Amino acid sequence: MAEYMMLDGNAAAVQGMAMSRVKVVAAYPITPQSSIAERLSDLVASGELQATYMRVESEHSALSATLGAQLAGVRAGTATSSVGLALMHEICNAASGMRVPIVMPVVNRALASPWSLWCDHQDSMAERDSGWLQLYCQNVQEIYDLTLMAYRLAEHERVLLPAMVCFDGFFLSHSMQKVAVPAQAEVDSFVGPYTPKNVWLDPTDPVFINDLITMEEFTEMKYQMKEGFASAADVFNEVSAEFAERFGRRYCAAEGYMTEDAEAVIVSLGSMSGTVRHVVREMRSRGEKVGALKVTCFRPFPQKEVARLLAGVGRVAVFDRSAGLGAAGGPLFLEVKDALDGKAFVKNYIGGLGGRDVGASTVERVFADLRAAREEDDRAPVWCDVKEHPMQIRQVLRFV
Amino acid sequence: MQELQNKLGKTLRPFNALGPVATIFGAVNTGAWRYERPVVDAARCLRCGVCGRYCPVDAITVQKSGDPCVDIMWEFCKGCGICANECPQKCIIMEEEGNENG
Repeated sequence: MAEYMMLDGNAAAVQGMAMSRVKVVAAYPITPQSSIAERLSDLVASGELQATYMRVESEHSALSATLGAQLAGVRAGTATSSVGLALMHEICNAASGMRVPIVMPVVNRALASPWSLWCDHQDSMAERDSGWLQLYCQNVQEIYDLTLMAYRLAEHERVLLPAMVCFDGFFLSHSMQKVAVPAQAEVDSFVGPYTPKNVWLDPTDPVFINDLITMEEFTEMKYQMKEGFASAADVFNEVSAEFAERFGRRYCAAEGYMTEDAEAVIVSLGSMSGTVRHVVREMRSRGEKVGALKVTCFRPFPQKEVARLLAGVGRVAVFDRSAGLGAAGGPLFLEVKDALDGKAFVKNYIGGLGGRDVGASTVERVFADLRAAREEDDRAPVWCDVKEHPMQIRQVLRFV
Repeated sequence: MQELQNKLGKTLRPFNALGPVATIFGAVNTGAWRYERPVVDAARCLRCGVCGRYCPVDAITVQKSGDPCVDIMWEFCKGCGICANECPQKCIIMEEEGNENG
C-alpha cells in the first residue's frame, strides 16, 4: 500500500535509489544536487540504508568508484549536475561501453561559462551521445517513478546500458511535492535484486574488463550498444506497462496531450511540460486547437511515437532548453524535425537558459509566433524572451 | 584456479560477453616492452633492498643470502631503470637488451 510523502525532487531521487537498495554510494556534492549526496550519506550513517558510502574527491572519481563497485556485482549509485557531469564525461563513456547499468540522477543545471547555478539542459544534452539512456522528469512523482523504472530498463539483459534520470535543477530538485511511495516490499518485487548479466569481477574467476580493443572488434562492440538502444525502446514499454499495473501510473516514451485534432503543438522536455499543458488547457477552453507533446525518453529517442502523435498536426514548435550553438537548432528540435521528415511545419524555440523561467506567458508567445509564422520566413531558431539589446547588456569602463 | 572453482561448486559455461573483456592476459607480459635490462654487480651489492622497494611493478626480490642477490622477474621488468637510479651503491647498470652475453 502506497503512502504519501512530501518530498523535494532530490529527496525523491534518494527515495528511489534507497528503496532499490543500492549497496555502494560514491557521490560528490554540487549545487543543486548536494542534498542527494547529503541525504544518502545520512541514510548510510543512520543504518537505514545498508550500503558503503565512499568519500571521493571529484565527480570523475565518483563515477569511477561507482563503476568499479557495480562491476563487483552490486547496485551502486551516484548523482551529479552541470560541470560535475562534464567532469564525468570520460567515465560516462566507459560505463556504457563496459555495459554497466548504473542509474544516475542528473539535476539539470547550465554548463559554465557564464557560471550559473540554475536550470537548463546543456549538461545532459552534452552527454546525449555517451551511450546512456536518458529520461526527463516533469514533476517530483516522475523522479521517483522513473528512477525505479530506470533500474529495470538499464539492467534488462537486452539493454545493459546505464541511465540518467534527468530533472530540472531547483524547479524540481528543490520543489516540495506530494509523492506516492509504495511499500518497500512492493518496490523489491518490482525492481528485484541486482544480478550482473554481463561480465563482473570475481577473484576466483579473473577477467580483464576494458582492455585495449583494436579496429578488429571496436565497430562490433559499438554495434552491440546500438542493439541495446534498439531493444530499450521495447523494454521501456514493457517496463512501463508492468509499472502501471502495479502502481497505477503509466509512462510513455513520448506523451501527447490534446494532440489528436491540434493545429499547433509544442514539444518539450522536463518541468516546463507541465506549464505547456496548463496553457494548452486554457487555450482549449477558448476554443483554440492546440496541443502538447512531452518527451520523457530522450535516449533512445522515440521517433516512431513522436511521428505518430504528431501525424496530421500542421505546425510544431520544439522548445529547447539548451542553445544548440552552431547547429541548425537545439538537440530536441533536430530529433523531432527528423522524426517528422518534412510532414509538418517545424520551428525551433530556444529559451529557459541558465534558470530563466519558462512561464505561461512565454508558452503563449511561442504559440502565437508559431501560428503567425509564414512558410517563406527564416527558419533559424527563435530565441525566446531575449532582452531588447542583448549585445549591450554589460557596459564597462576600461583604460584603453 | 580450476581447483578453486571446483571447490566453490561452480561450473564453467560459455556465454557471449558484451563489450571489452579478456580472459587471456596476453598484454600482461610487460617484460616484452624492455629495451634495456638492469644488470647487478653482485660483488658490490649490499643486499640493502632499495632497488626492490622502488621497483614500480614489484618485480624485484632481494635475497638475504644465496644467489642471485637481486632476483628480477624478467616477464614483468619493463627495463625502466628506476632500480639503477636508486641503488645507493650504484652497482646496477642498464645494458641494451640482447647484448647481455657480450
